Amino acid sequence: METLLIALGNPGRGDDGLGPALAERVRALDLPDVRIVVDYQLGIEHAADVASADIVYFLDATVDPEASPYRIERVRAQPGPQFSSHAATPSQVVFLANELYGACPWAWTVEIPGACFDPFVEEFSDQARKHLEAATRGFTRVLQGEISLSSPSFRVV
Amino acid sequence: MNTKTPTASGSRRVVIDPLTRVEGHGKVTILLDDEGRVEQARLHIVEFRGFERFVQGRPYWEVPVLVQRLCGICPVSHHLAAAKAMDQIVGVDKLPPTAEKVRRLMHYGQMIQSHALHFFHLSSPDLLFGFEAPVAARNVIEVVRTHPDLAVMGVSMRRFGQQVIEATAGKRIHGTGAVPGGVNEALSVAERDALRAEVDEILDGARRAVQVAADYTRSHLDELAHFADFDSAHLSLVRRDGALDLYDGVLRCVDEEGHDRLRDVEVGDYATVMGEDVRPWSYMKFPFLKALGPEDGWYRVGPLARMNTCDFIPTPEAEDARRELQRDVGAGIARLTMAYHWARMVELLHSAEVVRDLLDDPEITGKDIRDRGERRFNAVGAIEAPRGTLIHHYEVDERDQVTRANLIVSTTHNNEAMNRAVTRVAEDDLQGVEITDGLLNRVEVAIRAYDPCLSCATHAMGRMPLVVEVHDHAGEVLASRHRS
Repeated sequence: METLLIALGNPGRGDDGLGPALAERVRALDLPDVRIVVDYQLGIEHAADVASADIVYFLDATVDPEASPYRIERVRAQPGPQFSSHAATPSQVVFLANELYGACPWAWTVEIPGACFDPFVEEFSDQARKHLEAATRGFTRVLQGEISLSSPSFRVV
Repeated sequence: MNTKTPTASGSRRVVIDPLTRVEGHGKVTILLDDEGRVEQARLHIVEFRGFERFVQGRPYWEVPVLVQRLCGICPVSHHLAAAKAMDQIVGVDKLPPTAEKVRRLMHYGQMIQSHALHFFHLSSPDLLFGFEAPVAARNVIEVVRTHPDLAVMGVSMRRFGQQVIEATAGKRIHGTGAVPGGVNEALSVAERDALRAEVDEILDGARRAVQVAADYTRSHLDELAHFADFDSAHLSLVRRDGALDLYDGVLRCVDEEGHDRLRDVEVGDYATVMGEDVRPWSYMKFPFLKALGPEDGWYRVGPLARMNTCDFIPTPEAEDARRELQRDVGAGIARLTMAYHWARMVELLHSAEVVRDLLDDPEITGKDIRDRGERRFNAVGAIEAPRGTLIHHYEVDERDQVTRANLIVSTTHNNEAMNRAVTRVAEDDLQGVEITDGLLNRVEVAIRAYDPCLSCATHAMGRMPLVVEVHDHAGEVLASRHRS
């Protein structure tokens, strides 16, 4: 059973790099059957990646402080009203995977709140660093099967 | 959503916001004269990044990685243009064959993913469902529902291009493949074989895409002949023998009749032949040929321009496709704005042919990947990016720090052309001051033909919404519309 992590964000824009940072921490664990894709943003081509996986996690920073310290939510396939390479959402990409490839993987977003998204800053804010630590601990346990995502929304506080 | 504002003078202006399915966003203002006729239309770019300033003080070897942050859409083009400039800074005019081939593979992979994305997922709704179809039915989701084979093809080609980039640049984001004087690594045999296993399918998709674009253009020629069209010059790099070359070459510009305006000028001399005009209502500059001035010296760049400037395409299937395009819409010089889509697909096919040939070349996995020469302090790198000619110019001091940078990005070259296209649509379609769905659609379709990447061209931070407004002669807003 393949688990796919799609980490999104620009490490050159401060806390926007939280998703890729979480992915790199997971990569260091060298977990079996876990594939990692890191990209600036979600694009239509990720539908093919999603279609080949059984479980998908979209790792991304969020500006929503309510997600603190991190939030894992179920992704439902939805086309959405607008679609461009700048604006594809996890719901749209899962929708494409469904429509084009007949694939229905379990999909989740893992959102980590950031506070500073300034360009040309390659370090995290103090707040983001704490959130990343919490997300690493919790998400690692999810991947290792120690925590079951039985509810549509999951958060460790 | 329309608003009309009475004005003292009785003249008016129209604004469109936002423009959908364009990389980045902008704002369109249509200025009317006292008698209600369209006087001018402007695509405003009002946000500012000033990226050139940010690279000052950085060591030159960082620049090819740093400039990728200009844009999440075509970072490879900036990576390679900067690397080409830095080759000269380290005294290298000709890369070792393996290094150049790896870079070309990266670049043509980028062309595949960019052109495929634009055609299948941004523009195909316009072509398949028509300009006048409502937005709710003229989007990629409808393409997925009604033409799933095309949508799958788009995803496959985009993904393949990204895989080529990943294999040659090291990773999809902030790749470090190109370094001053060469590349970090050649392609491994395993990477080459994995890509080669898929390339025939990509070629098939490209052939089909050319057919779709050609069929659409031919069957709508009467309508397209007058849509957002205007005479213009065309500019691009060409190989020294006149062939289409998207990675390297000399500057060539031809006028609307195919006569030379620039004949194969060295890229390093760009500043002697090209100027950049500044207008107070836009942060995007207006490049022009100095010999003709800002009024007459503007030109178009990108896929259609490249079809017009080159003498031939050096891969057989794309050359046949180019000849068909010229025969059916150009008779020497193709001028239709909407022919950009067909030209883009000819380049998609060419890129797939080039990638196939590079993967078959034993030197792609060679060992000689970097060179060094005598240090220099001033360098210009240029490349044909998916959207057109991209120029990076740097000065570097004795301490290896960048002291000056000037970037002319592809969409900037098309600034005047996009304004002309919008003006033409407004002249043809604006009735009174009402911003109808039809007008909105046609303005969007005209701008989208140029595949503008506004965030990059304007050096904007983040996204820009595009508004369409109708203004009177005194600048009062008579109507505005925001489509989100």
